Amino acid sequence: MAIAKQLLSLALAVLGVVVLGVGVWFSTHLGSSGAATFRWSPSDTRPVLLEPSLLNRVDKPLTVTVRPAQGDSVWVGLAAPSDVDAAIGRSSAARLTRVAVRDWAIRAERTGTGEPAAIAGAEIWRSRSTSPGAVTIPVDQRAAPETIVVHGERAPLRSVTVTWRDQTWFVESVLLGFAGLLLAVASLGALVAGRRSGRLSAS
Amino acid sequence: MTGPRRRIAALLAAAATVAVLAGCGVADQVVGLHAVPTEQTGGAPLNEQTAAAITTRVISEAQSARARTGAAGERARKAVLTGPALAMAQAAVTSRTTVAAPDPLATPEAPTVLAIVRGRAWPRTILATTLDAASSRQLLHLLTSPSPTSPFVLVASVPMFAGARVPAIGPVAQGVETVADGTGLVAAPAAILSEYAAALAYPRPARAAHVSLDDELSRSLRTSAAAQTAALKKLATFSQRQQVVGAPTAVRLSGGGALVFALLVRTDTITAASGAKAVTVPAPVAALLGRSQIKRSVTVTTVETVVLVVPPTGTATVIGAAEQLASAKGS
Repeated sequence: MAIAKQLLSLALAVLGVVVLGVGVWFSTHLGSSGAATFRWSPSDTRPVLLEPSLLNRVDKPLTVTVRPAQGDSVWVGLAAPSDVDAAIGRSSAARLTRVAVRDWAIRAERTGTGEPAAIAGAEIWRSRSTSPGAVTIPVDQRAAPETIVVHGERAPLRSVTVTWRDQTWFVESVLLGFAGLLLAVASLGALVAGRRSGRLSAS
Repeated sequence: MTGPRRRIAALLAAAATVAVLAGCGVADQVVGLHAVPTEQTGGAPLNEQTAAAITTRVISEAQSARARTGAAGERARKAVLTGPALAMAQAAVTSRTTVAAPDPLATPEAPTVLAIVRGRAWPRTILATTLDAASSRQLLHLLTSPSPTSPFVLVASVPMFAGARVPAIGPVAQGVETVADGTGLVAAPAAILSEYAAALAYPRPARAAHVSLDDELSRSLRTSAAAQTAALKKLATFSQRQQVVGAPTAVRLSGGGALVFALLVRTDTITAASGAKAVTVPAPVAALLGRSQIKRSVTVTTVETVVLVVPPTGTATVIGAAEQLASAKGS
């Protein structure tokens, strides 16, 4: 029975260390502002679609930051997902569908073939603009679901970054780390105490 | 490993698995992850502000294209006009005549969107109105986008008759249906237009059972035809016929009726009597023909855009029309 208790203490200690590590890892990435930032860099000039499965699965506002190549401009359009799909059709596009928390990256699928569709002339956009330099697009969830389309005017974009910000996430990750620390310390204490009492009873 | 140790190890493994799986669920709960909201596809595909901005752009570009000449002008007109609007603009160019007031494309007040055809499919249609401040006449504009990557183009711009009104259409956000046949109407729009065209023939009009002829255009044409016949006396005869061109565009009104836009081509013919040496033609025709007298006949072609209200029962009424002299041929 004593061995069982020691094994359980050891397992809880390991779990505590893991939880501590997860808490520290999250709080380091989120920072004190609680900003969860995910990044993706395209390799070609095809239009980049930020899909509702990326933008509209959390009821929190977010910001999309698009950085063009040096000296280039960014075209941005925001429309209903079915309209964007109809306009893009089977032409080439990069679809950003979800985030990968482990890598703090955005997962992309390259779809379609051939020349990109002439989407800039389509009149499906709730808003559209062309801006020199980096562009930050605030997205609230009132008009969800929506798809954002971005592309560099002349060259591939440098990066697309999506950021959700919630300070409670930082607090929660710190609390998680603290809980893991407590669990690890308590379990290790129990393990040490168990081993001592085992040695005493054996002697 | 002994039996109790194996059981404990298995329990720990199970507990760890449950903890990891629960952890994933907890993470989803913490960030509030949920399924993607379903897209609403039933109403108007554009909001009112966007549709108004599109209408403003199209009218402005159409006005600019109409003013241009040569091959570039033709390309510009074909890029922003279609159907009746293109026919009217091309007629003005070929006949070198100006657009009769009120010009539907004259710099308008900010447009008011009356309706957007509902659904996510193409072609998409916007119905808007502007006010001509000089004449206090309301103008109706019909726009269409044929495919997802095609911008909206102007199908028709028509001044409404004084005192005419468009029946209620319903909230713009709800969208309207297009009308393809006579379902729920006193008759199919295409049939009513054919009836209207035949009823305007001169000197032998057909009877119209489903459309009223008590509108500004009908009265004007009857009066004009009678006046020309009287002016020509026995030197020549005057005849007039109308032909419906293409399929009409119609949207459903909230009362069940339909608002219909269509293109007609009117052909006026003056035929000199056998004993007449020469017949003097009206001044606008003479300007187009390049001479004031004909010996045998002259045929004048005019394009007309008409807007009708077709009710579920009773008779359809023409509430607006625009006409444009297109060509004249004579000998």
